[in-house]
Amino acid sequence: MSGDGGVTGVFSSLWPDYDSGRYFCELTKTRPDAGPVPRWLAERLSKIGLEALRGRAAAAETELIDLGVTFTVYSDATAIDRILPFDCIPRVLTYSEWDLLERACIQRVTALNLFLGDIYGKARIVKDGVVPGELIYKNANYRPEMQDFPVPHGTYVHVCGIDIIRDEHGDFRVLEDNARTPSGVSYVIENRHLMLRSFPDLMAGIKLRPVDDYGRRLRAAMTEIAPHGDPDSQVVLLSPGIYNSAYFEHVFLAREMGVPLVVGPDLYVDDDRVFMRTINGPRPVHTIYRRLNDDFLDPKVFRPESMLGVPGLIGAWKAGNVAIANAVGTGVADDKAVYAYMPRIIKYYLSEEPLIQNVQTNICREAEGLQYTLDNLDKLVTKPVGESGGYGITIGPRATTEELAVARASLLADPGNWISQPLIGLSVAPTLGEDGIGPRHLDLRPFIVTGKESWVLPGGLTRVAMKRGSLIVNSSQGGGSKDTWVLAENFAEGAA
Amino acid sequence: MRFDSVLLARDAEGLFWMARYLERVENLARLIDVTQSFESPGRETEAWFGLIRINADEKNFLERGFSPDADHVKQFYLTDKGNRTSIPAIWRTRAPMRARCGR
Repeated sequence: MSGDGGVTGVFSSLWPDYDSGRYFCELTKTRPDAGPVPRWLAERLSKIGLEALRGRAAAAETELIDLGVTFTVYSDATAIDRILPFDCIPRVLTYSEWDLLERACIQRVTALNLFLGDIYGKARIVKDGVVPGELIYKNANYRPEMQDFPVPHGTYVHVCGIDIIRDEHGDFRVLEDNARTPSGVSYVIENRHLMLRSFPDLMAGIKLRPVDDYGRRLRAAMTEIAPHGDPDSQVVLLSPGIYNSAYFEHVFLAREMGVPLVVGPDLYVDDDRVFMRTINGPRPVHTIYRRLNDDFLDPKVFRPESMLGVPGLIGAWKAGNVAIANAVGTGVADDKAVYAYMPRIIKYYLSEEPLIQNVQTNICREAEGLQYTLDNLDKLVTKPVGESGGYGITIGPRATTEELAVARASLLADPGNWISQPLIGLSVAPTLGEDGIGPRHLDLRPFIVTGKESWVLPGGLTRVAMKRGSLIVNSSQGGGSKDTWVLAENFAEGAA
Repeated sequence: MRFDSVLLARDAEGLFWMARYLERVENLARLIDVTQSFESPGRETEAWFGLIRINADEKNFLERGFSPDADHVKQFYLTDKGNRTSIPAIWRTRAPMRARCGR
């Protein structure tokens, strides 16, 4: 199975069996501005040795359990706390790679915010025929309550997670935007702490961009959007509670930001103002970083049966007495159908080309995209735009003749419900497995915080498929994570 | 930036109950310790069943299917998660602490 991914130089003597095949390897592939870091890493890992590496990795995972760095998996009636498996071999991004990623993320978030401001305002982009109106107005996440309601600094998406992959050529591609309540940032910070404690010898002498600034930056953005921008504003983090799968992250972020962690019943609304119940009586609240879906925020406006939200919250928001982050109604912008239009949305508002392209997406509601998809059905992945969780997807290269015939019929019956994309061979990086150090597929989710301006947490969450050959990096499917290193410009200063 | 601390009423309540549970667990552990120290050989059952009486747990003990002997009393208080008055069960009610610390 040897492709051109066999290793050369120092790697061939240390890892003779390592072969990334036709995939782009994020460590062994020569990148000019990675300098000696990949070689150092390989040498240091070899010096520690496989057995000691496994021992230390196991100890690190035990520490995650002890610290309660867990997410909850629901199956039937039981809820199990699991850790996100941690791989001790970091993923390294160079200075120039990060420069591109950072600019591309800011560009994308800027466009998302302009798009939301437009569709909840004059809807120029629909009138100009760039995005079909029905994609927006028939979208389940479109919130008519948001129409003509301006938000501070035009920011709707205060916290955004953008899923980015790297193809066989090493080119970055955006796979998905997460503009509602993206999670995972706590692992980025905890992974770095774990790495510093358990593998200091891997990092010695390598200057990395720090990740522990996130809480402070998020807090600052939340203060910027508070009514009147008062620096004394009271910020809170609103969580659905201990049964939410990301509850650890809520606790973690509240602590990092230095703000109270509240649940719905801790807050109440009086005369369109929000208060929290403290031992010293009611106390006004000015910004709510909510980790609760739109539907649950306010039973007076959305789901009347929900006990998680705060009755009257939307009224207080519309009266301008409280800020909510992310804004209500951002789900219309991170939808699969709208994703396909993102390159055009970026051009429309910014008059720029996207710095990082989408995965090439054929929009079947358009004649050209439909024809191309039908002609190449056996080579493409077809996805229904209205579904999530992988339902209804046909992977052309792996489908039977019958499955392809079914897909063809569905496409012709309702072309507007479909998009198609080529099957991407995700990049790989050396990962510690049962069979030693081998290539595993991975992706990247950078986090962007926006108040007045956007800031990108250096690196982001690298998710890795722990099973050999698997392309699925989701934590529910046995995926794990790696520490993501962004090399500082002068990364090797003072190193040996 | 405000420096006066904010304590949510719900968290204050959680801390109060956490202290109560801690106290209960501590009391029970001390009684078990004393029982262990002073049991006389041949009269273990009498010594250990005293714990059940102190806690007025006779009905609960029998309903859980245990019979009055030393090993069963130890199981009942030390490892039986189904018994609401066991150490692990009392400790499991530490939800308020999780709410505060995430653990």
